Amino acid sequence: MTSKIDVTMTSSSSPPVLGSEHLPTGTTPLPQWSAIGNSPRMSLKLNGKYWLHIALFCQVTNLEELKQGLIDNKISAAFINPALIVGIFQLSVAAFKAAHLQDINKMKTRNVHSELLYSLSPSKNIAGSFKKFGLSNDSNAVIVAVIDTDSEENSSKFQMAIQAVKGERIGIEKINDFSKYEDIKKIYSITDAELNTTDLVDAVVNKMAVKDA
Amino acid sequence: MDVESEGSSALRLIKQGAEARIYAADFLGRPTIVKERFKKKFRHNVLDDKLRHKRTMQEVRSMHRCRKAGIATPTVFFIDSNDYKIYMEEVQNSITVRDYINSLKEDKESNLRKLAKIIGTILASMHNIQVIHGDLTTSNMLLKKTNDIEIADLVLIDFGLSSISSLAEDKGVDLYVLERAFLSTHPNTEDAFKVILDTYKTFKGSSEALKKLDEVRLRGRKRTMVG
Repeated sequence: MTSKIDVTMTSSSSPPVLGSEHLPTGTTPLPQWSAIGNSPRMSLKLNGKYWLHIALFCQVTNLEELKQGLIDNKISAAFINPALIVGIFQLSVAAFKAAHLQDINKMKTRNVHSELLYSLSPSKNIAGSFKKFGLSNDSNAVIVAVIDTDSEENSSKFQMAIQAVKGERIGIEKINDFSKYEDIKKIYSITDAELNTTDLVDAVVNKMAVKDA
Repeated sequence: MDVESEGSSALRLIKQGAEARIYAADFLGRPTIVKERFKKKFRHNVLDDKLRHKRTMQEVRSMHRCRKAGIATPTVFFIDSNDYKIYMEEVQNSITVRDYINSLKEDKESNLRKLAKIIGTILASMHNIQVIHGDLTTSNMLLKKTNDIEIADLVLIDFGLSSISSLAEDKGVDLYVLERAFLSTHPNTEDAFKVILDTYKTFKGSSEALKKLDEVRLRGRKRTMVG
């Protein structure tokens, strides 16, 4: 599933990331993952301009506080319920779409992080999307996702967001431990017939992409 | 195929058609095909936008409809509705059915029969959900592998001319287009094409569609606009 993504980034011979043509910028757009040592870091270059920073927490105790932080605009991040996430690719596609829509001023929601949640959803119901994919009282595991022009070390948004979470930070590779496959199939209305020809991540991403069609 | 660099852009042009350009690229770590419906300057701006939008969305909708019914199509990753680009999965290690048929040597007959059965089954289930492909050729079918092929190994591509229709006429024309393409690309495969049609019979509306196919054969793809 996520194995197709290079964790060890090496030379500039890697193919550039798509989407850069929309974004005039000098830096070479490379899919850069930083998984440094055993630290649970995960950052990915979406295109020439934006990074996606992700962190996974479990046993989070201050869900209400985080919710309020988003409402008061004190935290600039997306808090995602990992139950409906099958892989990093799903997150990065949603983030790419959110960043793209922000750049062309066609976001349907208030900011790029709420747009990320909305992009994850197969439905056009915005409030419903936040409810399903955002913080949920059924789960105390949370994915923190931040779209930023700054790299992980320099991203004050990301640092602020992860400091706001009271819980145990764990490696992002555990993301599938929280996936509820039956719920995913139901919410994305994925048929068994489709899964004969494709894997779950692709079925989910496809459904996300065709939402506007 | 020519590989051309597109200036500073990350897209590598593979093919240029009348309506769209096809690029190869990398999208968030996945090998990707980008289909761009480019602007036609001779069209009125508003009309141009409308046509490109409609066709892009129709293509994606048909692909999704097929997927849900168990017909393999490339995964759509992202639709750029600003400049009408579809970012989709590049089907890895695949060959076109056209190249596959041309490569057959030993057991040509039995392999061809097997392939024909798969094509027939897929067409039946596609027409059963009212999807008309519009451009059925052996170049628009990919095989993910060449040994022990199954239904899930045949990927239908290029839904650019597709539509949704329950009319037997449209299904008949769809079959006719394939018949012409199949028999002219692959000489002496009349028997194999018969197997396609025989397998196609498994779906409910097939008899009407096949009846229409006979009619279409006599008059060609276009209907006479009399009356």
